Amino acid sequence: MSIEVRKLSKVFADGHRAVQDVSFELLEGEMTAFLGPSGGGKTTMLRMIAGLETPSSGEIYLSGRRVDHLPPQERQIGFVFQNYALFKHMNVFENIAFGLRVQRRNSAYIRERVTELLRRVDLKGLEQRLPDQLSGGQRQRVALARALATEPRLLLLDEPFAAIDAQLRKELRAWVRNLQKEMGITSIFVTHDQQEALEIADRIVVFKQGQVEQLGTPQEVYNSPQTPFVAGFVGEINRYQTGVKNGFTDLGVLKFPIKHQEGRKVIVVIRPEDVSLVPWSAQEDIQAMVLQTTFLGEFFKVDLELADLIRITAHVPKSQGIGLHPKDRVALQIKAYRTFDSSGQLETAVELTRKAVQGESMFPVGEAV
Amino acid sequence: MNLRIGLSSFTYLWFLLMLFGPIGALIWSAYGEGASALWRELVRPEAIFALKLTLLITVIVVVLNTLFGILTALLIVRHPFPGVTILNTIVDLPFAVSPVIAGFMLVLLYGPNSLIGAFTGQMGFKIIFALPGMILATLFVTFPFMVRELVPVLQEAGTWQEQAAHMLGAGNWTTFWHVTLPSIRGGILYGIVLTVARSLGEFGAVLVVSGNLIKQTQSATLYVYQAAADFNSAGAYSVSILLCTISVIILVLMETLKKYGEGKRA
Repeated sequence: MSIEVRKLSKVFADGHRAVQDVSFELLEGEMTAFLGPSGGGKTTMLRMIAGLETPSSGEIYLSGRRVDHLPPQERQIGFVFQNYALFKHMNVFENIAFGLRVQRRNSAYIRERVTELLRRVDLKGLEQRLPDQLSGGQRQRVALARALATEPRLLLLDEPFAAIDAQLRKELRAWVRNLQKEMGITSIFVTHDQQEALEIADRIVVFKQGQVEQLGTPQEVYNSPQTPFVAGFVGEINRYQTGVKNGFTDLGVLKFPIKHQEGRKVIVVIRPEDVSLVPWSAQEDIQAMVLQTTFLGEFFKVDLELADLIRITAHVPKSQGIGLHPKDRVALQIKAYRTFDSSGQLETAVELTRKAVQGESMFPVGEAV
Repeated sequence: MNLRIGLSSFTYLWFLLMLFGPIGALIWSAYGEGASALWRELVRPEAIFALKLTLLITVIVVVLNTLFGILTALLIVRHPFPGVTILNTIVDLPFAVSPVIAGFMLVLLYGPNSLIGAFTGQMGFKIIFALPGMILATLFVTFPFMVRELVPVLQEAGTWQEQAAHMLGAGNWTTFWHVTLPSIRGGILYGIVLTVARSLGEFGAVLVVSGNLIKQTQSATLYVYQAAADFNSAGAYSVSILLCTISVIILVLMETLKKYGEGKRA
C-alpha cells in the first residue's frame, strides 16, 4: 500500500505542535523508518496514519484513497504498540485470533490461520499462555502475529525493539526484516536508533521538531545528509561553525574553499571516518597532536588537536590505533567534508581523492613530540 | 520479644472485645432460645416479608449501581470533562455524610410536602415511605463503592488494549464488551460484593425514608431493630443470625475474589 501525506499538522490541546506541515510519499512494499530524537513527532505521525490521533490539518492517502477522516478500525492497518498492548485476559491464541473473530471468520479458518502465524513467529506450543507468562521477546512476536492475522495492507510498528535487551534486539530486528520481505507488506517503524534504521529500512524519514529533515535511502541519508542535523543524528560528525575569509573557511589549518560571500557564517561537517591519519611530516598541510585514544571494538576513536586549538575526532582502524598514544604527532588528511550555510542548507559536498592510508608500521610505539 | 507478645495479645484481646465477643454473644443468646423458636420466628410472615424486601432492594440497587458506577468511572477516567475533579470528589460524599442525614435529605427533596413528592403523589406514585425511597437511599449510600473500585482499575489498565482492539477492526461496542469489560472484571465483582454487603446492612438512611411500616416498608435490618425494641428477642436473633451468615459468606467471597484478582495480576 503506497502512502501519501500532504501538509499534515498536529497541534495538541496543550498547544504543543508535534507535527508541522509535513508532506511525503512512501512506496508500496517498502520498509520505512521514522527516525529522530524523542519529541521529534515521529510517533505522532505514525499514530495519525493509524487513525489513533486526529490531524489538525492536512490529508493522508493510502493507495490513493483519502483516509484521514476514517476511524482506525476502517483503515486495515496492522499496528504493533511499543508496550505491545496485548489483551491481558486472553491467551496467546485468542490474542492472535481477535481480529479474525471481529471479522466473523469461521472457527476452522481461525484455527488454521492462527496456527500458521504461530509457526511463522516461532511460538508453537504457547497458545494457552497468558501474556503475563511470556518473555518480552515472545510478547513482541505475539503482538506482531496479532497485527498480521487479518492480512493488513500496511504494518506500523512503534519503537518495536525499544523494550528488548540488546542481544535479542539484533536477532529480532533481522527476523522482522525477513518476515517483512517475505510477506512483502508495506511497513513503517518508529525508532530513535540510527543503527536500527540503517540496518533494516529501505527508506528513512528523519524527523526533527515536528518536521521532516530528510527522506532517502539509508545510503543517501548517511552519505549525503542535507542538513547538519541529519549528518549528526545519522552517524557521528565533527561540526564547526565558522566564517568565510578570502574564499576559504576560517578554520586555521582546516582551509576549505567556499564560494560563499565573505564574512558569512558556514557550518563545516566532517565524519570521523573521513579523517585519516598519516605519519607526521613537514610537508603535510594539517598537523595534529593525539589527545586521547579510545578502543571501540571495531576501530579506535582518536581525539586530536590541530593548530589554533581546533579539535577533531578521527576513527582509525584497529591496527593503526593500537600504536597511537597521547602527545604523538601525526598528520591528517580530510577525505570528505560538507559545508552548510547558517540556516542549515547544504552548500558544498566534497570528496577528495583518497591517499592510501598506511598501516601500523608508520607509527612506531612511543613516538613523542 | 516481650513487646511482641504484649502487642499480639493486646490485638487478640481487642479482636475478642470488638468482633468475636458480639458475634459470640449473639450466637449464645440465640442458642438459649432454642432452634425451633428461632425457626418459628424466621418464618413469620413479617420476617419473611422483611427479608424479601431487603433482597429486592439489594438486587435492584446492585444492578443500577453497577451500570451507573461503570458509566461514571468510564467518564471520569476516559472522557474527562470540565469539572471532572469536582465530580470525582463528590462521588465520595456518601462516605462522609451520615446515612440518617442522607435519608433526611431525600425526605426533604422527595417527601410528600416537597414539590417533586407532591407531583408524584398526585400521579399516585409515592417515593418516600415507599419502596422507591428505600432504593434511592440505598443507592445513595452505596454509590461510591463501584466507582471507587473501578477508577483505579481503569487508570491502571490504560487505553492501550482498546487502541489495539480498534486497530484490529473492532468498533466501540465490541471493544467495550470484549476488551474493556473483561479487563475490569475483577473490580466490578469486588464492587458488587461491597454493594451487596452494604445494601443488606443499611439501616439509618432506610429507616428515615421508609417510615418502618410492618409488611410494607420494613426491611430486614429494620425488622431486627423493631423486634429488639419490642423485646421479641427470638425474632431479633433469628434474622440477625441470617444476616450475619450472609455477611460472612460475602466476606469469604470477597477474599477469594481478591486472591483471584492478585493471582491474575502476578
